[in-house]
Formats: sequence, structure tokens, C-alpha cells
Amino acid sequence: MTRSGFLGAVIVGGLVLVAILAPWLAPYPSHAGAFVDVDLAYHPPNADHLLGTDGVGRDLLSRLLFAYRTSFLLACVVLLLAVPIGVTTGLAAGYLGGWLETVILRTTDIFLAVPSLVLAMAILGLFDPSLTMAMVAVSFAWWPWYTRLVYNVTRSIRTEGYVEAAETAGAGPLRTMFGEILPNARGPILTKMTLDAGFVILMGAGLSFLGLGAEPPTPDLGTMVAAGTPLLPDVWWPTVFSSLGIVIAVLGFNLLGDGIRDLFGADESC
Amino acid sequence: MLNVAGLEVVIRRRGTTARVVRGLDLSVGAGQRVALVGESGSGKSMTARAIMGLLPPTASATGHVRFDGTDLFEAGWAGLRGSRMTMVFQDPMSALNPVFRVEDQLRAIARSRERSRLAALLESVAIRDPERVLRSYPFQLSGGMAQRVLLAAALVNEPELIVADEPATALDAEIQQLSLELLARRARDEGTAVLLITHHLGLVRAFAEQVYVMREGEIVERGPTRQILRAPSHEYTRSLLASVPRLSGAADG
Amino acid sequence: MAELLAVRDLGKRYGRVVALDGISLGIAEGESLAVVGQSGSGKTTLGRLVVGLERPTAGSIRYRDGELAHRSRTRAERKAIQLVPQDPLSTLNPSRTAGANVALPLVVHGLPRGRARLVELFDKVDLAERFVDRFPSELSGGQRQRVAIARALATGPRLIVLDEPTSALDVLVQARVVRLLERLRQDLGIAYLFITHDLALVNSVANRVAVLYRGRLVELGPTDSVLRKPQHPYTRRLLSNVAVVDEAEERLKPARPDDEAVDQEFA
Repeated sequence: MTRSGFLGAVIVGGLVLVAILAPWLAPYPSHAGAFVDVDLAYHPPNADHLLGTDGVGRDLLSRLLFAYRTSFLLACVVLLLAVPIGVTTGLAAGYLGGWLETVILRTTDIFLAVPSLVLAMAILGLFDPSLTMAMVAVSFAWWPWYTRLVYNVTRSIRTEGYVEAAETAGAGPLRTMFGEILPNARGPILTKMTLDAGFVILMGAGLSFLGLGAEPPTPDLGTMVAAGTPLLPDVWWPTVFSSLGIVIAVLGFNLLGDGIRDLFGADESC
Repeated sequence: MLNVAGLEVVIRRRGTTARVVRGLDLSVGAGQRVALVGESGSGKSMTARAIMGLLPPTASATGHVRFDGTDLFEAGWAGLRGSRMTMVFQDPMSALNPVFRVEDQLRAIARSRERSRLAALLESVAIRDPERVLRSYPFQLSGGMAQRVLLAAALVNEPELIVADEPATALDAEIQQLSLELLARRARDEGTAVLLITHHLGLVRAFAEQVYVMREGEIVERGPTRQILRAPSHEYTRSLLASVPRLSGAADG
Repeated sequence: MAELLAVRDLGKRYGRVVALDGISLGIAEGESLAVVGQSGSGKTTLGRLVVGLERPTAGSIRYRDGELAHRSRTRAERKAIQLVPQDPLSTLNPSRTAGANVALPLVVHGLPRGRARLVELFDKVDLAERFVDRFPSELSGGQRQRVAIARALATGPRLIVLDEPTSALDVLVQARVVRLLERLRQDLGIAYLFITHDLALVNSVANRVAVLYRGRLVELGPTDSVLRKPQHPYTRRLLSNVAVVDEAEERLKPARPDDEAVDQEFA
């Protein structure tokens, strides 16, 4: 793997560990919830609170660590919903063709014509905002990208010799699609999933920034940024550190995604 | 025109190194048609790439490649490659950029950019309606057309040396023959030096005056084509010769 | 010899493009029929129709007593007609081992697929047991084509469609694969439909030759007479383009048709 890809893997791996171990790593685990201590409100970074405290006196570092749990939960759920739907529809459209192809592709066109964030907001507008609804809404906006990706890969693979040999041997459509074509699409799919994990985190933060995602007191990167912005520039630390938290996560996934792409690219040329 | 002396190419892969070209000497004079013959893995394509300065990043070359007296390993290929020395690749479709029209691709590399000259160039490679081809995208061309456009691209700056790496091998015997004829005409009329890289001795016979037979990175036999095909002295040349399919009966390589 | 496959007035159109037009030919048990033509002649389309990857738009394909042209094939028919695809780079699924590639038809048809059976199939194509666990990227072009042949043999077929099985290989490797195919045909009595652009090759691989030109059958006959006394000008032109290695062979080639005529074909 390339050096930058390795760096990405280290960042992502580190963040995942941090999220899992948050209850043990956080200096003040109870601050992840509805803790209030007005005497501690808006303390700048100091020895007791490395990243300072927020408006109700909660330790920002502790909340940041817990916020990654929210972010990763969001990314996992969205990808677990969007990828299987996208893969199945993409394979079906690319391999079976016919009217199914037309219906699936036109449907994705409609989705892709609207920016994902706007689409997710529109969906959320119909319901009471919550983290769960945010996950569903983002997934809803996300699957067509996988349909398109898998469709394109399928179209390029379905005339390969081994696919035709499988068909000649009598393999049915399901076996050919999932057994022969899908394994050879895993490079682009994995690459996109990694890159997307970063973007989903960003979008989730965007939604909660707008008040459409995680509700207080759940620690969330977007809500933390939102809570900090009115106090700029005097109370800078809540905004800066939670934004940095987002940047690091997105950067990590992007570097890792590029690394995975290179890895699979190199594989194919051998 | 081209003089290769003591060429060594080493490839590093997964921690091991392989010497794919071992002390190769070869020369092609102006107007000469020379063939380098061997199986895949013999090092013939790496030799071509080393000459053109197009080795993959995992490979490194030592020795001397002199073009018109200049040592290219010292002086580099700037100002030479693409103009005074060019290469024709194996697969015409992948060598053309699918998103640009033929005309734009030729213009991008040509020194002279007059449309009439480009059209005349396409005519010289037996393209009958050059105007239509200039307007086309690569996917609108047949394999034979694409191969000719590629030849035209290699000829557009009137190079003094052309390296042809198995032009159109897997495609079609007729396109292959045509490519070689066009290259031979160029050598005869313009004094262009041509180095053909191939595994097929039948093509060598049809094209080259001199032949080098390469195996496992080394030249095992060299000489005038007629002599080598009539009386090959090396066992490997004999087996290559025997494996060419015969019209008169089965090959027995 | 009994006729194994009979094609009558076979046609295939893609929209307004006619890929095949009125092809009639037959293949006997254990016979090898070469189908020769340039790219665009329809030879690959013919192969695809015979193995059932596509359905014809006209005519019939009879295998033994069954008419295959316009219906789904039975399991027995699928087992009987197999394919070896052209490009050694894509003929095997790169994410499976060579053994798993060969096992696929066995899995599909519920046939025994233990290691012993795979080793036996690899042995038929002269590949040692260690190749079973290799990935396609670790194999040479010739080895990949051998694995593809082993896969085609797995179901015990009666007819194999070979689509340019050697055109991307070096002459030395090609000669070895051709000899292997010939030996398998004699040992197992399988018939071949051998698709190739190289007329020089047919002598080594076929009893009879069919020459296709722009979707039509222009010449069909025993290999020897087609090569020595070609009737159609197109066959003569194909022959004139064969790259040969000695004078005796050169004398077997007919005079080349003039360049004007050749050029016209490409336009």
C-alpha cells in the first residue's frame, strides 16, 4: 500500500479504536450525557480539560471521543443499507438489462438529479428529526451511487470470457451475477465505501448542524460545531476542535480510499 | 541510426530482482528493417521500452542506447521521443485516447498542424477518406482503421526510427501485413530505420533484412533473415521456426 | 459419421445490422470444423449462437434430435456444448483459483467436484496438481488457456466451440496448445468448432474449413482442398496474407488481389 494510504489506515484505525474505547479513554465519561456544571462552562483548554469545556461545563475531549461513536454508527448503518441495495439493483440492471435496466437507471437518475444533502433534508422534513431518521434518510439518498457504480462495472465485466463460459456451463443469472461478476467488482466497491464513509460522516454532521440529526445530549460532531459557532471568535475551542474532528475523519477515509484503489489497481496490472 | 550496446534491464518485483535483458547488442541503420524475435518473456518488449525510455517504474536499465550518436541514457529522450523516434504499440484501441477526435490527437503531437498535411498523411497509410477519419472518434473506427491511424501517429513527425511492438498481432493477418508493408515503404522511400518486435518468424521473413533471435534476455542468433530462416544454427530458432503453422501440413514445434 | 450439430439458414441481426445471413453447415461426431474470417465476418457470432449465448433471428440449430434455436437448453444440452473463450486475460475469473474456475460447471450441474476430479481434469490438459491452487494472475497465457480447456472438458461435452483459443499466444505456445487439442479430440472423440482468423492454422486443427465473409458462408470444404484450391476470391485473399517461413510455403499461396480491392474491404 502507498504511504498516504497507510497513513489513512492508521487514522481510520485509530478513530475506530477511539470510538470503541471511548468510555475508558475519555477523562470524564459522564460528560457524554446530560451532565451540567455551570461553574465549569466555557473554560478554555487547560490541564484538566485538554480541549476546554462547552456551555454547560462538559469536557470537550470526552464529548469528541463519544461523538465518533455517533459518526461511525451513522456511517456503518448507511453503508449497510445503501450498499446491498445499490449492489443488487446495479447487478440486475447491468446484467439482466431490458426493461429492468431502464426502470432502475431512470429511478437512479431522479435521485442523482437532487444533491444528496438536499434530498436527505427533504426526507427529514417529513418526519421528526432523530439520529435514526437521519440514517434512513442518508441511506435513501446514497444507494443510487452504488447502483451506478456496480452497473458500470457489471457492463464492463459481463462480456468477459469467464462470464460467458459460466453462462455456457449453465450457471443461472443469480450465480453469474453474485458468484462471477460481483467478486471482480469488489475493488471499486470497497474503494467507494471507504471514501463514502468519510462523506457520510460529513453529511451526518451537516444534518445535525442544521438540527436535523442527532438530538442533544447525544454527543455529535455536527451539533457540537453548531453549539459553538454563535460564540465565535471569543470562545473558539468548541468549534475549532469539533471541526478538526470532522476534518481528521474525512481525511483519514479519503487517504485510505485512495490507498485501496491503488492496491486493487496494482493487482489488476500484474 | 540506433545502436544498442551491453543493454541490461533489471526488474524488481516483490523483493526479488530479475535480469530480463542481459548484455544485448543490436543496431539498426538508416533505411534498415530489423526484427527482434522471441517469445513473451524473452525480454524483447523490455528491450523496445528501454530503447524508447518507456520502462515501467519497477525496471531499470544500464548499458548504452545510442541514437544518431547520442547516448540516450545520459542525454535523455527529450526532443527525440515522439518526433525523431516513435513507437507503434500492440493494441491500437488502447493506444488511442477514446475521448478525442483523431484530428485532435494527431494535432496534439504533430509539429506541422495544417489539416491538408494531416489528410495527406492518412492517405499515405492507405486511408481512403481521410476527412471522415479525421473527424471520427476512435470507437467509430474499425480495428484496421485504428491500426492505420496509429501508424499515422507514429509517422506524423517523419521520425528517423520507428519501433513497432507486435503491431496488430491478435487482430487480423491482413491488417498486420498492411502495417508492415507501410513501414517497409517508409524505410525504402524515406530512409527510416524500423525495428520490429515479434514472435512470428513468418512476419520476420516478410519484413526484415536482419534478424536477432532473443531468448531469456540474450541474443542467441543474429544475421541476415534469409540465411537464418534457411539454416538456423540455434536450437531455439529451429523450434520457433517449426512452430509456425504450415499451409502444407501441421506445425510440429 | 453421424451428424452432431446441424445449422440451417442461420441468421442474426442486431437492429439493422446483419451479423450472420443464411449460414448452413454441419459438424459430425468427433470432427473439427474451422470457421475462418476477418474481424466482422460473423465468425464469433456463429460461435455465440451455437453455445447459446445468444439466440438467432432466423434459421435453426439442431443438436442431435433437438432444435435449439428458439428455446432454453436442457441440462444435457448445456453439458454437451461448451466454450473456450478467446482472450487468455479474461478467460478465467481472476478472483478464483484455477481449480475453482474449473469446478464451476461441476457445481452448476451437481457433478462430483472433489480434488481428485479437479486433478484428473488438470492432468488431461497436462497441468500438474500444483496449478489447481494458483490464481489466474500467476499463470502464463498458455497455462490459462489450458485451464479454460479443462473447464470446458469438465461436463464431458460432445462439442467445444473454441473462439480464437490461440490467437493471443506466441507461436511456440500456440503449437503446444494445438497439439493438446488434437490429442484430446482423438482420445475423447469431441467435436470442435474452431474459430480463427488465421488460415495457416487450420491445417493443424481442422478436417474441414468454413470461410465467412461479411456474415455469409463463401466457402466450405475439406481443409486440404480449400487451402490448395481455394474457390472464392476472398479465401484466396486470406491465403495471400498468411505469413509463411519458406519458399515452398510461399508457392502454395495464391497471388494477392490488387490493393484497390483490399482497401475496399476496410472502408
